[in-house]
This record gives sequence, structure tokens and C-alpha cells, in this order.
Amino acid sequence: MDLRKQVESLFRPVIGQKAWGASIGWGSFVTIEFGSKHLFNHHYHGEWHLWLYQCDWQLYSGQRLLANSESKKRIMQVAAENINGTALERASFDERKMASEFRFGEELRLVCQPYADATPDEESWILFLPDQQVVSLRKSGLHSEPQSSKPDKSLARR
Amino acid sequence: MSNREQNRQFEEAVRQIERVLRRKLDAAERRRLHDEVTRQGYTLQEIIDIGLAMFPK
Repeated sequence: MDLRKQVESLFRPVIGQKAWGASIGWGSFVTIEFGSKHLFNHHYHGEWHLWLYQCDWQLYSGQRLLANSESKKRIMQVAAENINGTALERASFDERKMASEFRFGEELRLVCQPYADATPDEESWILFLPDQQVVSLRKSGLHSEPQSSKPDKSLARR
Repeated sequence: MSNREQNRQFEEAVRQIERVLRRKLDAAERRRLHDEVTRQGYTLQEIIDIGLAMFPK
């Protein structure tokens, strides 16, 4: 299976799920939660957790750029909050550009690409799965590893 | 410092923690470290110190 199909297949179970907890973390890291809420070491995460890690990203509403990964922190944060409550409608991947595109609702598109100087093993994004696996996208392809920590407890689905 | 440089600073902190622990931090451990330091404005050395306190081995 080619990388595009692998990436799109990976996100298939998340399609239609509403995003929550979309937030800007350290630097321009973006974290987005899907599915039921679980407690991990005093922090809540969804059973699916997407972490845009070492990548450039842009968030569009239609054709209009709301923020990108070099915007000011507050701009990135208020733009990312638009993702909350919208369903992931599509996850697509352009293998030539190594660009991942996540479409939320009817208007929002979150596009991320690895840095131009990324090493083959630098992770553009990391997806935590409910089956305790973690999959990351690198220039060298998808990489899967088991998750070391298990949730402390789960809460009702949001 | 650009946002990209900050992102790579976090990765540099991870590498320095791994060097002391003599093992790799997996993605869940990196997420746990990120949960602790995000939006706190720590320096590189403070992130490393938090990580080393968080992971005793």
C-alpha cells in the first residue's frame, strides 16, 4: 500500500468524530482530541490524540488563512479553537509534498508539512490510537510503536 | 526565537533527557513531558530538569 493510502486509512476511524480540546502547546505544537475523554497523569486526552509536532502548518477557513505555525501565540490559539466541536470530515495526504490535510466541518482546513530541513526520522505529526499504539509520520514513512502509558480512568464520551 | 526554533528546543530537551537516562523516551512519555511544560514559559534547562524529575529511570 502506498503512503497516501496508509495515512488516509489510518485516519478512517476518526472521520466523522468531533474534535475537542484543540490547543496550541509548546512553540507551535497543535494538539487535537477525538473520542472519549481519558485521564493520563493528571491530564485529559481523547482516545484519539493528534499532535502536530515538528511541522509547518496553516489553518484556513475556506481560502482565508486564519493562522500558521509562525503566527503569534494568541492568534494560533484563537484560530485553533475554531476546530473544537467540528467533525473531522476528511484526512488526505500528498506524498510528493509530504503534506497532510485535515478538513473539519465544511470550511476549516489544517495543512501540515515537514520542515524543509527535516531529517528522515523527524516526526511531522503523532497520532495516539485507542489500542495503545502510536503512529507518527516521518519523511521516511509511517512509524508505529506501542504506547507505554495507559489511561488512569476514562470519562463519559463528550 | 521562532516557533519552529521553540519546537526544536523541546526536541533538544528530549534528546538531553534521553542522554542522561540512556534510553529513548517514547511518544507517550514525550506527551507527558509536553503536558507538564506547555504554556509555562520554561527554559530549555528547566524542561530538562522537569523531564529528569518525571522519569526516574
